[in-house]
Amino acid sequence: MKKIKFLSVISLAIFVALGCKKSVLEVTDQNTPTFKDVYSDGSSLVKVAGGLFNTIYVGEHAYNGVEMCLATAADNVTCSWGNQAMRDMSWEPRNHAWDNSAAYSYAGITEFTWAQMYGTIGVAANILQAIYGGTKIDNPGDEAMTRSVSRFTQGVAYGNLALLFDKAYVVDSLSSVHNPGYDNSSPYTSVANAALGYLDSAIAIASSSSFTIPASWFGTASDMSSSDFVKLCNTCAARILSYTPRNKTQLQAVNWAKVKTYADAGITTDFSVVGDSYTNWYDEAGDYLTYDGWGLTDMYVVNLMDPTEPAHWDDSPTFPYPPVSTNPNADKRLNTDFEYVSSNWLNPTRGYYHFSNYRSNRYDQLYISDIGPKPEIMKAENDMLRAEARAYTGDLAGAAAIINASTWKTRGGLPDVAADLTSIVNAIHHERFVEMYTTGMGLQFFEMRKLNLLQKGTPLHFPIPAQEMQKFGQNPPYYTFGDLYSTEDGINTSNAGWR
Amino acid sequence: MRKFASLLTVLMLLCTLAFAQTRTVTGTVKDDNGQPIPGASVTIKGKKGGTSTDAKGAFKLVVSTGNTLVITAVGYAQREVSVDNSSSFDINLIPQRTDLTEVIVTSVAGATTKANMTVSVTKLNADKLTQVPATSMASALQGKVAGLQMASPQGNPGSEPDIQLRADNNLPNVGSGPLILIDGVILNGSLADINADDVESIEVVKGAAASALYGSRAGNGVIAITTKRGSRLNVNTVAVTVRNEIGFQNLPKELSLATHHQYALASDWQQYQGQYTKYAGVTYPSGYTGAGYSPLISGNQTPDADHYMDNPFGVTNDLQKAIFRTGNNFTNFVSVSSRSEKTNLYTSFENNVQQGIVVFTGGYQRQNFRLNLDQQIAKWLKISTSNLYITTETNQPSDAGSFFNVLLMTPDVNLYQANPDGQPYYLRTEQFLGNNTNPLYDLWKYKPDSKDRHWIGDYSANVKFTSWANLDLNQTIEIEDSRYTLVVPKDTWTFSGGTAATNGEAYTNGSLSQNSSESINKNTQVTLNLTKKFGGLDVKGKLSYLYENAHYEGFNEYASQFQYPDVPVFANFTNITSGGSSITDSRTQDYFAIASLNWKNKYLVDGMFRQDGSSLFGSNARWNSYYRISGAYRITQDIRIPGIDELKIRAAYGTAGIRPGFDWQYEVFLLSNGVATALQEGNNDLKPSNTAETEVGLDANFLKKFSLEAVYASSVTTNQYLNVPLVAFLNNGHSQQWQNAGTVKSNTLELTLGADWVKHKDFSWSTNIVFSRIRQKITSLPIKPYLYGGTDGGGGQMFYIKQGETYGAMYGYDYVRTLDQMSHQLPAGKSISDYEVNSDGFVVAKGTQGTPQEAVIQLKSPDGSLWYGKIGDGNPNFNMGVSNTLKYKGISLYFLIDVKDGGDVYNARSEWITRDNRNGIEDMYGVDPSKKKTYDYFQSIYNVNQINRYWVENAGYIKLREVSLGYSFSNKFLDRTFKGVVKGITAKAIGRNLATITNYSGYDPEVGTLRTPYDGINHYPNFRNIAFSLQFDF
Repeated sequence: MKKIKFLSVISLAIFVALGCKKSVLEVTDQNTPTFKDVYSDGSSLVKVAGGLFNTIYVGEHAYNGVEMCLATAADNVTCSWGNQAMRDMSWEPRNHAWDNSAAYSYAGITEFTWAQMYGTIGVAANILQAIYGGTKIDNPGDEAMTRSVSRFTQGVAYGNLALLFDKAYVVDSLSSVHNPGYDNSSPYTSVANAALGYLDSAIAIASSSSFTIPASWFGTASDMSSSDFVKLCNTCAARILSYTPRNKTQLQAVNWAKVKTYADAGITTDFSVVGDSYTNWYDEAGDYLTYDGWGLTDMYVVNLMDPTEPAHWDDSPTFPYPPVSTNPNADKRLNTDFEYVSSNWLNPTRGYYHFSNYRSNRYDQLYISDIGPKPEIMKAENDMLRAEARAYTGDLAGAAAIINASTWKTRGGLPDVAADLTSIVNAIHHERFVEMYTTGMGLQFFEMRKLNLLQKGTPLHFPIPAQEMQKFGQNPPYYTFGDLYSTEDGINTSNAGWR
Repeated sequence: MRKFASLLTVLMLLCTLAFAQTRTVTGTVKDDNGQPIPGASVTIKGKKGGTSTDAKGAFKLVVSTGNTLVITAVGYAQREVSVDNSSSFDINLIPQRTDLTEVIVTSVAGATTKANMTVSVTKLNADKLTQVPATSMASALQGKVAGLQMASPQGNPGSEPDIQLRADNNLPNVGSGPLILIDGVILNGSLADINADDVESIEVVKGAAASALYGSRAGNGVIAITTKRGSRLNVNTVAVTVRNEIGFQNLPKELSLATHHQYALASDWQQYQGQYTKYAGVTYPSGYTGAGYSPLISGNQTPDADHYMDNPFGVTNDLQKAIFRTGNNFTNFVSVSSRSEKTNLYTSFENNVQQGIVVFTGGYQRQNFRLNLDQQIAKWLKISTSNLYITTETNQPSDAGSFFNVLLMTPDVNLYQANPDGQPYYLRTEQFLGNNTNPLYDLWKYKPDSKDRHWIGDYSANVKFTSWANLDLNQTIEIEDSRYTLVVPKDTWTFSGGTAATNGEAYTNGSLSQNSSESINKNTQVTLNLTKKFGGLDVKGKLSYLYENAHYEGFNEYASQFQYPDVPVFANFTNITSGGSSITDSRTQDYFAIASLNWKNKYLVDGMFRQDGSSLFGSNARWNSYYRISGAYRITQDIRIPGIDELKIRAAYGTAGIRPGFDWQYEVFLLSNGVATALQEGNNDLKPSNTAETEVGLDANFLKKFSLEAVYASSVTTNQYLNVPLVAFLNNGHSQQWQNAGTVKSNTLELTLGADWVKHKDFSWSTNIVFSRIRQKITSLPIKPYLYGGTDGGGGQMFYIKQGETYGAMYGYDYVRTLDQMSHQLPAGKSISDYEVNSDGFVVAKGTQGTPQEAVIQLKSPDGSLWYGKIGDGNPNFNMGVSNTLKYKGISLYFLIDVKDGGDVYNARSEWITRDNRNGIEDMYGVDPSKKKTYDYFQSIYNVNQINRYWVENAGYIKLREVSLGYSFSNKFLDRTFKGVVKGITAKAIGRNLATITNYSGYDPEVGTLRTPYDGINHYPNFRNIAFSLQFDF
């Protein structure tokens, strides 16, 4: 009995002693590296840089982002489903202001895109800070690649912010602004300038060294040389300059000479991202914009390809169902990249103006399982930037020559474009709507915007997302853009339109 | 115990023989009907020892004249009889409600009778649980405990319920479920996997005051389950129980869907009636039937002139019948228990099958194996073990979209048409509304399977040092392994990517997903139990140390594009598309001390203190303490009140908490392909949320028939867990951080009334009523208001966390309902005379009623923005459960009526199906012409799924939750027929969720979680179950 008592007391003592051992309660999270792991080791910095572009890509193309509603607002794709504000951005008439309240069903789409861009910017800044702070990357090529790609992604992310939002915060731990208050935002023009600065920096670093970017970094089919990377940086810079204008007046003020310089040094083959079955690289928005039962090709685009087709499906049950195109002069792509839809799947109670008689089938194979390449930036897009820069700097013949050697001809089978500004601008417009259909994010929206073609009442950009304003302690109601009869000013809300 | 008492009596007798003036008296103890009461305890007041009555109610005891006999028996009022010169005593006991003599063991210093409790613990014995044998412990409690609310987030069999005791004290980032103990083991798995037939009793420890003993895990209360053991048998006996149940599960109610449409029909449509709906303006290929997609169809539907949905379809099917079926349920249970001098044993097996109500799904299958063993090794040493091994296999719809799609299909759809390759259930079964797919195809084609192996074991030893001190040593273990596999076969059709020959469909080439996880929880506890009497003062106490060690690991893999069909292994893929894994560990040390003082069963005081240290707490907040102080006064022990048999008042104050999630204190980067992305700022100060509760209670038994328990509890929960959004570029790219802030206050009123209306030998009738009224409010929130709660299909959220607001409030938009509202938001150039209130109670433009122009108008705020405010409240006004048990000879009837008064549900399903004009409210066939509305009007209400007051419905209900009608064969019959081999036969017809009275328009008002009563499109509907049970006792 005494023995047992003794044993019990001993065992109790052991437990208590165990309890007093301090380290018992020290547990680490084995599922995540620490800040130190991530930013204090050279090889880790290289890896982190490798994920930067994917953050941007997801921000551009995930279902959660703004790509889908930009496509419907631009009358490039039509879809009356409410999802991700596709319907709210394509009402006719466009008497719907962007609902910038945190409670709006689709408030998340601007917040998501915004957050992905800043996610990229912040991590890139941390990488650069670590490098300049002395963290050594052993291989000089890797070091240059890491710095250059960090700068590139900062440029692309700021570029997207400039394209989408009226203002944003230019933050960079290497420069002065590190702790902005809500009021310290910069207008989109300044944000675009900052973006170009980062891209210039990326170009400078990559041009003075040689490296090979692994395929996984940009989701490409094969590794990318530093010289090809420089081309990509140049195209991205040209895009930002060309796509930023909110109206025709601003279009005139673009430094087109600079666009020409960038675009001429731009990509010479498609920059394609390879779908990996919905894992890291999935142009999800593009899928919804073309999937059976979802997006149809807007009549505006059908009419571009075949002018005998109506450019608009009037909102009437008696509007005659447009027949399949038989026009021999139509853009050839109407039959290769698109297919006739003999009966609409969209809900007529949402308005016949959403109806269309064609859909895009160009990426159907890809979207069966998201396996295969899809152009993110086509060579054709760079061609059009080159042509556009020439056209606005007076080199009409040069512009026409580029167009007449481009997909306008090779895929569309369209007649040579005359060397006059209107024809050239129209041809570029045509290619952006037809050839670049659902590539990139918002191309057609930016294109319509700068030509004053967005339907009257369409917001020309988004306000800072409500959820971000909340984080800064701002109280609602939050400012916004869009709507007819009240706010259209041609600066924030379209006051013109193609119809 | 009785044996032990008898033994003591013999000893006593031997001792007392030595004294003079003592003599032996005899007596009988009977009830008021003259029936003998066996096992009644007979003692002499103020002296040790005593005896108990035999089977005929007789006793023998050595007494002295002037002694007072104290006679007690379970179910009867205690009686005292003075010893005069008589040598024989005939004593009658008056039946008394049993509640007070129940013994509570959870959250107290030592086993305590209900009469002497100072905090709220509700005990349910097997009799209350097995009237309608629950299919699992998950469903055994509803309507039986005041202050307990339940909901089933999904209605599928085997799904884990949502249980809440009193108010929901914690903001949504942590759960509202109580800590569950099963034979002392902290259960991390699902209560739905615990079989009910093994259960001896349940103790429900409701608020933080009562549950303080469980510290940082018990902020939501505690439910302690005790299973049966051999110790309840007489020595040297064996008992065998065999119970079999077979039943049927079906959908009690189909949704009301439109059976008419708004489109113009072709002039010759009747020629095609029975084949398809021939719309005007559409050209069909010859031989077309059903409503499926055909590339040969051209043209579109066009609404007819009136826009009313009153035109017939060419074919009208009830498609809900196609996916819902009547499923079966089986229970096969056998238990064997035995008791010998030093060993007792209880072992059981249960097989439980519930097919559920969805076609092509196997439902839920479970086997439970139990072994409970107690072994007295020496007088001072006893070892015990309880073990439960559970295997489950679940086969549920892998794609809940089927529940939505079946409602969206127009009734002319033929779900049974073949795909282009001959596979059944043509995917593109709808030409128009073409993004809706055949609900049967995925159900049929996808092969989901989940398996779970779960072991819960407790190993303990009790070492008795002296009469007043003993030590418990416990080691518990819980291991749960789960596996999930989903095979999407190579030849699975998808919507697009194909050719005209395949109607646009293409094969996906399939995919394989697998998840596997294991969690292991090992707890070690040492408890010193102390109990001693000092004169009139009973003192009980415990000193305890608990070490908790939890480990989890899991991984998942996904690969797409099978190379060879029907070879579901990962090597059959070119590469693994994605995979992931995680490992978590947590360790906690808890110390606690509790003492209770009982002065002559009159004045009762409890106090406890606990200190928890956990690796889950931030490094600067590693140790947190909890305490309780409670007291009670049994008034009727002092003062006699006519008609009142027992009256006690009590009060308690205590604190308890909830632990944070595993990674909340850490800085977190998301890892993908070896690349780290910033996510979460760490917080070394993160501590458990803290609930402090004050409760006052009154317990009364009166008129020998009734018992009443009334409790008012009020709690304040501080240090709420908030996932605070951060401006990422100011926080190293991190976009969130867990912080402690915010306060929720709540109060709860609980009433429990028991009545034994009639208690005769042949006929008895008793009623138990539980009532609770819960209020909860967010009194402080230092961040911006935010929405929470899961929704289906990307729909908006509506539950709103806002300072000063009820916790459970729904926020959204509204339409103008009065002309007064309209007068404040008149558009330019309009006057109020341009508007009128329509027949639905909404303001519309004057003269538009019944026309396509009729549309509801969005309510605006004075600043011109859309009005956004409170549109509903998920909290009910009160909950009430009324159970009745009637017995006449061998026949017993039991029914439980469960009442929820008020409490809104957001009926998102109704909103979603309006999108495609499928809602029954839109069907205008046979509607009075003055009240007809166009589909345009309903589309203006639908308003692209905007969260709107229109879709908030009162989901109050009166439910016939449980019914049983049983017959037990008499002992006489059994003796005669089976010669004592069969000791009992009980046959029962059972109904579960039998009938509901409600105004709620969905399948069932009991939907969603308690926190987010949201009726989404992917919800597996609750079913009704009718079953027959036959039990043999040997």
